[in-house]
Amino acid sequence: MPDNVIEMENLVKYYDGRCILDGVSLAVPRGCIYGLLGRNGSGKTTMIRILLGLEPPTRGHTFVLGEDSMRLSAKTHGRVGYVAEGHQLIQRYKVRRLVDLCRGLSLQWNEELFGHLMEMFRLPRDRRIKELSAGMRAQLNLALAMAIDPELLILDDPTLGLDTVARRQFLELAIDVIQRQGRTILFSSHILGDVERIADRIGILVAGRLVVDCTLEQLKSRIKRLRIIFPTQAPDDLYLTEVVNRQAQGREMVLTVANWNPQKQAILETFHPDNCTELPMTLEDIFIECTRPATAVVPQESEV
Amino acid sequence: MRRFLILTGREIRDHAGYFVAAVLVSALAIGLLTSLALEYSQKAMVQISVAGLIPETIMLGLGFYAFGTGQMYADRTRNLSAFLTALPVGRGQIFLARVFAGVLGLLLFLVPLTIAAAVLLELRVPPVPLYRGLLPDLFAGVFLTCLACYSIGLYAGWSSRAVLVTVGALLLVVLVPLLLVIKGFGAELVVILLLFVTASLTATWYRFSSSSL
Repeated sequence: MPDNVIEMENLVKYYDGRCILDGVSLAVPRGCIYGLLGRNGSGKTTMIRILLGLEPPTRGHTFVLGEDSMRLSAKTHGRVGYVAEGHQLIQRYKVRRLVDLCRGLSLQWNEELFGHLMEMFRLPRDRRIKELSAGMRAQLNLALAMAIDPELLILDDPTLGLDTVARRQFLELAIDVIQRQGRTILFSSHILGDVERIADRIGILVAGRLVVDCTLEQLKSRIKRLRIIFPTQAPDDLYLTEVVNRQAQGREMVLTVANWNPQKQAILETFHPDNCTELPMTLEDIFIECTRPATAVVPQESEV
Repeated sequence: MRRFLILTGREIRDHAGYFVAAVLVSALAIGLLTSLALEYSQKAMVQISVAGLIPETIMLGLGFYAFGTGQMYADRTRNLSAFLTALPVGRGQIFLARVFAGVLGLLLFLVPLTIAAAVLLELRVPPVPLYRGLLPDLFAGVFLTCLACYSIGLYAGWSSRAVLVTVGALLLVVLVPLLLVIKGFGAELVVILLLFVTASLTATWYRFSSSSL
């Protein structure tokens, strides 16, 4: 059994001459909950679609459960649960018919779990999919994905369009069921709070490039935001590398730096600041800093 | 096999209208053939049947073209294959089940009609070997012509260049039945149509298997 459930090697995708993914390499180990972040159009959905073999890559390779995505066998597909962005279920089918179709085509079907989820979500079986609300469709999609007892669950912005309560319920259920069974989740979202709550590893896609790929703790410890008060006017240049963002006003400077270390600390101290305090950063702050144009690339785990 | 049957069942249920139409048109054709056999002389019956064969085949071809287009267009616009391939189903299985459903639709139309024609020939036409031998050739010719039109429909339905492909495909659908006139019924026609069907199904499969879902 491969250690990495998902692997990508130098994945490149062009669409109508536009670069959507630019050399993305990624490995998601078994049992990991991987939060994939990125702004709209950053390439998250394309990456997931390539992973599932729904879209051919321009260059590079992707592997799911040890198999090339473009040649995924039906057996491997049966081990992957997928909740698509916008919950693209067959709209004109009634819930009952869609469930029967999925049950019939699946390699394994956990009727007990599925029944429990349908009851919990109070999903009507005799209504057409198109008549369901966005929240109900999301819940049905999740229930269908979970009923096959997937080894890998891929959730592509699953909470998009859901209200707060439905979102919370959806996430808790996804985490509860999958974590209890030691499954792997790839979770794409731009709702940072959701990702922060459940992910143990984070990837940030910016304009098709994976600029961050590390654990949440590493990410938080690696990026520092400092509020520095200088004795006189803040200097124009601190001669520090990997500055993500810098804002100066009078004696005060707010500096965001990647890979903060004693060397950088020493360089800063040559300017004899009166005061230097670290400002706490949430994942949202880090995300905003990382996705600003011309962001310094945060080195990945192997480079640390 | 179980999955293949489920997928075929899904195709039939989703396009039930075409199957009902195939049965109704077949019943109508049997009715017409029977009334011809009862109303006209043996010679006139054969002449009228043969004379009407080309326009009828063109109309049938258009019908099966619409069936093929409908199957693929519905898939493309409703993201059916995208949903199905997220389940343990390959694109090959989806495509095969689709074509199998199309062939079933064709047989649903042609088999009762052929049986009725055979019975009427037996009852009303003298036992001339020429007439007896005509029926298998007729069946093969019409079946393959309709299958060719259906295959063109599959190709057109999956194409996003709608206008260009539709015009070209419709032109082919009208031209293919004319092969019956040009080549006549027989082995040569069967070979040409088989090659045409193979080529158009291969082209459709290539597009279907290599495009984004």
